[in-house]
Amino acid sequence: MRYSIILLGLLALIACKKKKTEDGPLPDELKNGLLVLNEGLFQHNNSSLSWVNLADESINNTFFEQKTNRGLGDTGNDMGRYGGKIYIVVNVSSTVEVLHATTGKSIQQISMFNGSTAKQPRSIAFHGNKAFITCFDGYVDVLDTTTLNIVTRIPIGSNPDQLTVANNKIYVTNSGGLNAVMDSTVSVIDPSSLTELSKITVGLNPGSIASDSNGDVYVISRGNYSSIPSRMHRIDSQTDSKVQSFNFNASSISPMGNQLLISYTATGSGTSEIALFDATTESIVTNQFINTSSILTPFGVSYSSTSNLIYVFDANNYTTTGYINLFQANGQFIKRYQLGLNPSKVLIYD
Amino acid sequence: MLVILAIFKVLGVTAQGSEETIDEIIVRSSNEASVQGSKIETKRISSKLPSDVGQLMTLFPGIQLRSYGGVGGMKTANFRSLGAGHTTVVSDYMIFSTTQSGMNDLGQIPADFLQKLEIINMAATSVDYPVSAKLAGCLVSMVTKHTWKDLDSNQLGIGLQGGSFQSYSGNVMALFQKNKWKASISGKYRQFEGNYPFEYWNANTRVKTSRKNGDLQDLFGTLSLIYKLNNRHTFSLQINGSKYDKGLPGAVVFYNETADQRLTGNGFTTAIQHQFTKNSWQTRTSFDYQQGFLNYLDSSYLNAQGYLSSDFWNQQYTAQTQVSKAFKPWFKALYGASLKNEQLQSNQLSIDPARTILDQILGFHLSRKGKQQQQQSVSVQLGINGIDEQRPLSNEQKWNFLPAVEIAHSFNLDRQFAIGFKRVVRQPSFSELYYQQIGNTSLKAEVGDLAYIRFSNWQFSKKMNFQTVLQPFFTYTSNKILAIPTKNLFIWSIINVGKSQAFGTEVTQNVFYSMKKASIALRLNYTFMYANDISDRNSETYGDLLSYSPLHTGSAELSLNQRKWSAFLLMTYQGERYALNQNIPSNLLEDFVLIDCGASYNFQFKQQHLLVRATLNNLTNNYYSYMRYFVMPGINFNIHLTYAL
Repeated sequence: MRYSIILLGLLALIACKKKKTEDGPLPDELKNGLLVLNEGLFQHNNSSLSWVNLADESINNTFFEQKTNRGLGDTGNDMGRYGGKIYIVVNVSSTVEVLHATTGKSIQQISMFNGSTAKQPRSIAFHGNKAFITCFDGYVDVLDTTTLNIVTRIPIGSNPDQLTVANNKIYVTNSGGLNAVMDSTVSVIDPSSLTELSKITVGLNPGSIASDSNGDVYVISRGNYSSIPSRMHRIDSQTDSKVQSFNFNASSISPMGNQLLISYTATGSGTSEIALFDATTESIVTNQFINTSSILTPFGVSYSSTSNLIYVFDANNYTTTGYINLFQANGQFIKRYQLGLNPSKVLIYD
Repeated sequence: MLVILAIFKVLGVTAQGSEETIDEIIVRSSNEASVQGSKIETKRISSKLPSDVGQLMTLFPGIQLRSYGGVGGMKTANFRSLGAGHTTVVSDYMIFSTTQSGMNDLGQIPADFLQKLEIINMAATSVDYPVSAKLAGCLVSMVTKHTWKDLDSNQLGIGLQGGSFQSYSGNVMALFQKNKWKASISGKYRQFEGNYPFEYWNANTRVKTSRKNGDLQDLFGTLSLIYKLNNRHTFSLQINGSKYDKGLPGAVVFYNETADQRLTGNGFTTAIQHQFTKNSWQTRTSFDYQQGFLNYLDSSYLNAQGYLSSDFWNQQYTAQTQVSKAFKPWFKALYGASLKNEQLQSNQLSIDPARTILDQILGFHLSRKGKQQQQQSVSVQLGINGIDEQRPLSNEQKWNFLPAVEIAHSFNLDRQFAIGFKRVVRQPSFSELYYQQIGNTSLKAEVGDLAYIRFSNWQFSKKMNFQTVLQPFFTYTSNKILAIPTKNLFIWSIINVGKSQAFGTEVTQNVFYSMKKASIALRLNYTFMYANDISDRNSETYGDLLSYSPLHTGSAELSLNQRKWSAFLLMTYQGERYALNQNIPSNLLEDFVLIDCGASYNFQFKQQHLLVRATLNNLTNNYYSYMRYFVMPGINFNIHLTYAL
């Protein structure tokens, strides 16, 4: 018995191991900072918002919880600011959270269900007084940004993923990612009649999509991650037809003026690169525009004309907290901040 | 003749008919067997009215239970930080198949007909455990009444049980013998609505709701025949069948409680055995066949069909034999070989995989008597695990050498010190190798090294007995097979990336007090384990505690027994742990204490018995979860009536 007591005493001395992290102050008003959406991990309900105060470089990783007294939910996929509101699309929780753009306080949580079936919203884009939200159940939901009501559902392809606006039309990638045979099309939606105008065949498993200032739409088909490689394609928004396919690998695209930032991570080796593409000459300017040697898992790239900076997200190993890396517009590294789990979207505040 | 040095032996104490069995920390440093482990027996098992075997695992030191919900939820057991794939579950000498997923779901194994439940660490020269199981990191052995072990009369038992959340079950078992034949038949039906209420924290908001889609129906049946030809030869046949249909409530997802997945399936096993005993010789030969079918249905899956249906058919054939001989009073040896073939077909796998595994074992046990009841012993187990598997790009033929050794010194009948080492290996499961998009056909086997020290002490007095066991241990695991997202967050891959180490100690303190008409037992189990990730020095998680590896776990149980009635109070504790490997506050899960109690009364009418048992579980209505957001039930009760003839 005495041996047990001695041992228990020793164990009690060495047993405590907790890494505590301090959260930065919660701002009353959002200014001079970055609001970052951390996607979180499937079925962990740990999607979150981080606030980076650029004045004192403090970071608050529980912004949403402190503002609302509840969690953001499971797998936040997209975030956009439009008018005086912030819209956050939470995929597995099947919600769209609407926050006040300057205070971050909750305005409304929109439940995205079709009867008892979760629609699983994925991405959001805005046009006129409407928000267009892709839903994995095969629809684009149209949200009135004034009343915050879903006004209609537009049926398109299977498992619609991302979307962009060009030439007064909405372009949506139909990934078909939950099917044995994936989709290969981009749907074109008329934002006036709220109907699908046409489907454009691009390549297997289309995902990331963006438009340039010339009205061209660029889309990436991710292939099947093995025998069919990923590719980038160009769509002419005047004719709504695919006019060009580029013979290089790509994972995601982000517009930067009349250029595109194209990131690619090789599925086998895990090596990555972020290239600069000239949308006028339709050619790669440089393959290694941004040095990714210190970025373990590029999880998104974003350029802000407001700050004239490039933001590169690092998901680390997906199960540990990630980073946002700040680069000059010429690709020069500035600094990075450690945030929540799988950071992927950012809003810039002056 | 051989002396069984039972430092911690079964202590059967009769106090006017009341009987209490203190759990063994079995150390039989004899020529009969060299078995080290711990066990619980039928009376203690049945007093808990467990819904399944998984519910009993928290009573063992060194075990970390992973329970994915209440009744019907999957339950797996990790031992000293080794993953559930290292745990082998044996019932009546037959290893449960793990062909489909690589691990056993202890939540689908009924506990109604158990005679004893053991965790075995070392059994080098015993023929009582299958060859492959002795090479595993953790051997969970169940012996049911179908073996007639410690039974010698015809019996008929009928049990009915009802409880909270509309749970009902019934079982029947009959044992009869005539001349050289012994036969038994049993069946069990279980139904559970599963809609229990629970609460959870959503940030600073407390949410009250109830579990949905947690219903369960299952049916089990067993037929057993034993023919004892003479004192040397015994033949046996056992046939089992099962069928189940259950909802899968999954983890709680904030704002979305629409989980609508179901699991249905059935299983069939048959096993024949021959045992031979003559003088110092023992042999055991068996052949078993197992098949199973499982369907996973997600009726809200957002593909073109509007649902996802995955089918899995598995088959397993095992033939094995073991022979042991005590050459001298101080020297015993064993040779055993097991040949297993397993196959799986599924619409979710890239191929229909099959593999053949040959396990061989050579065991020795040497002992030497010293002065004043001192004794030294050495147990050695030399295992070879061979695998032959045709993979798409290569033919995987590998041999793994798996040594184990334990050296023990007994100071006297009451005190023993032992030190041991064991190397174990687990092959990647078929799902890890071939699941569409996720599987990785280049996976290597995961290897574990276990080292331990055991100090055991027994103190006797006229009325009171103390049993103390300390077992410090160290575990090192390499080539850990982990699932991590690689291509994107939705597309995970299985890869060999991890290394981990764990050190800690298990403490067992049992106290037994016998009175004139009753007995009292106090059992304390505590495990301290520091298991951390040492995969990559540059990783954020290097040195951090592994996910779901609490530093502290334990249980305290007080039981009282009288001739007609008995009662128990059980407290189970699981310490703080992290849901992910990164040790940050947002990944931290709260610790919890569960308090259960129960009582039973035995009415006897001549040869007939009516046993009434009742349990009240989670007395404090604690809302808790073993796994994050896999909620467990609050306070609940069970009442069980057993009629025995």
